[in-house]
Amino acid sequence: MVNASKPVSCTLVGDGMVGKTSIALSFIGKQAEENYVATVFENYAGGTSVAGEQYTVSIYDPAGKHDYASMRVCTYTDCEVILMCYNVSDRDSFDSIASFWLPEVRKFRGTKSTVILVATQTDTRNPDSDSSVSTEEGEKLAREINAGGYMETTTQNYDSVKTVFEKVVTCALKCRKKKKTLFKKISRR
Amino acid sequence: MDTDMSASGGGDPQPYINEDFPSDGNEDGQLFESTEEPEFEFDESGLELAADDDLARENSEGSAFQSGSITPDGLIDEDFEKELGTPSDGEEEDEGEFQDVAQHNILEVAGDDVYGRKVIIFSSCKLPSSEKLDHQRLFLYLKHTLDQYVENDYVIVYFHYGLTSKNKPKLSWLLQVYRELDRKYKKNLKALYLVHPTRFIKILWNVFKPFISAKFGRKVMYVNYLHELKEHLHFDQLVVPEPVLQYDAKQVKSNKPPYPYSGDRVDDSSGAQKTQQFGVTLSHIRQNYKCVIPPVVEISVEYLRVNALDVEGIFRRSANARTLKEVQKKFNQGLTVDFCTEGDVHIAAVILKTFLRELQEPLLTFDLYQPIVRLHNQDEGRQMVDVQRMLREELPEDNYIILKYILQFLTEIVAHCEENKMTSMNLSIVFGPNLLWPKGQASLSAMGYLNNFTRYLIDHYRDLFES
Repeated sequence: MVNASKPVSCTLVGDGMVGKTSIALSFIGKQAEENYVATVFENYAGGTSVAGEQYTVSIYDPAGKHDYASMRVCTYTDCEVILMCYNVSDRDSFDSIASFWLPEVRKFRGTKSTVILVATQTDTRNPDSDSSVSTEEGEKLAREINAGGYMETTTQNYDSVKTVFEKVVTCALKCRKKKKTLFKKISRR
Repeated sequence: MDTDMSASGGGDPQPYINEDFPSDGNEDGQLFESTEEPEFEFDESGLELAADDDLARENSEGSAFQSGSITPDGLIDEDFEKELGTPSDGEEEDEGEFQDVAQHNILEVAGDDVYGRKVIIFSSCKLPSSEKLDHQRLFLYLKHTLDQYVENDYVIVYFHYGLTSKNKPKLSWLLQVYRELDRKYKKNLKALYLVHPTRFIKILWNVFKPFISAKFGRKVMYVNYLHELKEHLHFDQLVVPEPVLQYDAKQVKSNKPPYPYSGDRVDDSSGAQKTQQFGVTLSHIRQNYKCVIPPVVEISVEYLRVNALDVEGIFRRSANARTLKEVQKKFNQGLTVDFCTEGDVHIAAVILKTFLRELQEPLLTFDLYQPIVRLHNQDEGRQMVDVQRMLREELPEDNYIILKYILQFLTEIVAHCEENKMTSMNLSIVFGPNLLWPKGQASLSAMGYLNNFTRYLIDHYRDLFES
């Protein structure tokens, strides 16, 4: 059932309480827990199919607290795609993408890392509120940080979660292919 | 290359070689044999004294023989004779012959590394400009110094910082060094630490790598920050030149990892302002503010106690990074901050956490790290006694008072967990890594133990602090 090739790995980053763990849990088909406990470090694996092929996606879910920076470092080095999450109804979490998360990821992964910007809890979006972040703003930020994509998601809608991880797989495959062709080009000479 | 050599070094060093070593300067093996033997004869009178000196030095340096070399007995004897002979002579010789080179202290020997191998330091910042220094002499001096140690394993620490176009030796010289230092030098060199390598060096190295033996390639290690050396060397023994230290401090500062490495900040008080509260030591704050509990802690706790006990996710939420920086700056300038004007209760919570995280030494101290991690495999009954003893006897008094102050507040938050949803478990996850961290990288399991410990402190606050 599952593609024998290397599983696609991704890391969820973003401020505390934007719902990173919830996305991961929802993707692997578990109900997001209601017990309100901060994550230290979790690792999940789920399957998804892209273009008719089954892929395993392994998800690292490190703590979003800035306090746990030292632990996140190791997850950065061995994942292929980074999912940067913010809560659409919490502008601070949106601001920290540019002011905290991007610099941190750039520092440990270099500038050429594949990043997907994910807007979470879109069901809570209130267009009248000041703190709410619009789709346009999200897309603009995604362009600015040169992200591989911008996705909106809510755990209320399983399909929106699934598309996020399908995007992860396509991004990772694109990245792998790039490396492969470069290698071929060199070795052919 | 040969023509190059004779062109650059032909003028000066040749007469010098002729003077001291009757043999041809180009055949190194002969050259050095011939230097050793006559000295042996000359020095007979002073040999005993020199030997004593040498033994004393050996002992004080932690003895290369005891720690490192797993040589058969015969070899040690042989080595010993050599040690008795050459270095003592060498020292006298240094005075006279190599004094012009030696006075710069370009090469230094700094005891043993953690595996018991001799450490030799080469600092490029001490190289004088090319006009003043004859590189041919430097090479001879290099070889001469190395000769004393190459019989055993040794490592070289190379401080690249400070090499400029003015004092850098010619490439031809480097090639000459590589060629003329024969197998024994390369074989016993166990590691070459390149400290603060520039991009240019890395590129150059990659270009030359295919031509240099793979074995040697593996020995070269880049060291971007001085504290990385600590894994391999006894850092205290290293004589790091001042400019390199400053450069490293600058590097560490500009690329400061988000988690604090204490210790690699060279000295805490010199750079910090008197009013500084973040990123300093508790004693620094106490000295300048004349109070045990740092003002930033007191102000934020007082504020949170009034305004945030029933705020959902207090201490879990992040705050606006920009506001945070401004508030931090105000505290560092010694101004009083009124959190009411900042508009967000989470600012105060994050400030408190940030303050703890940026302390140079964690509140629970590095000394207690291991004992606390080890606590988890003890049974419940003993735990209480142990923790009590640790807190009361081993934790410095100031730390104890501050810890008690903060924990007491945390118990108040837990008392309101119906509204704020922050149970002791939740709080311990967000506070654990701010109360204690190891000097290096924390492991995942250790993190769990630390959080358990923090939870234990919150849950048993009454028994631990008030009985």
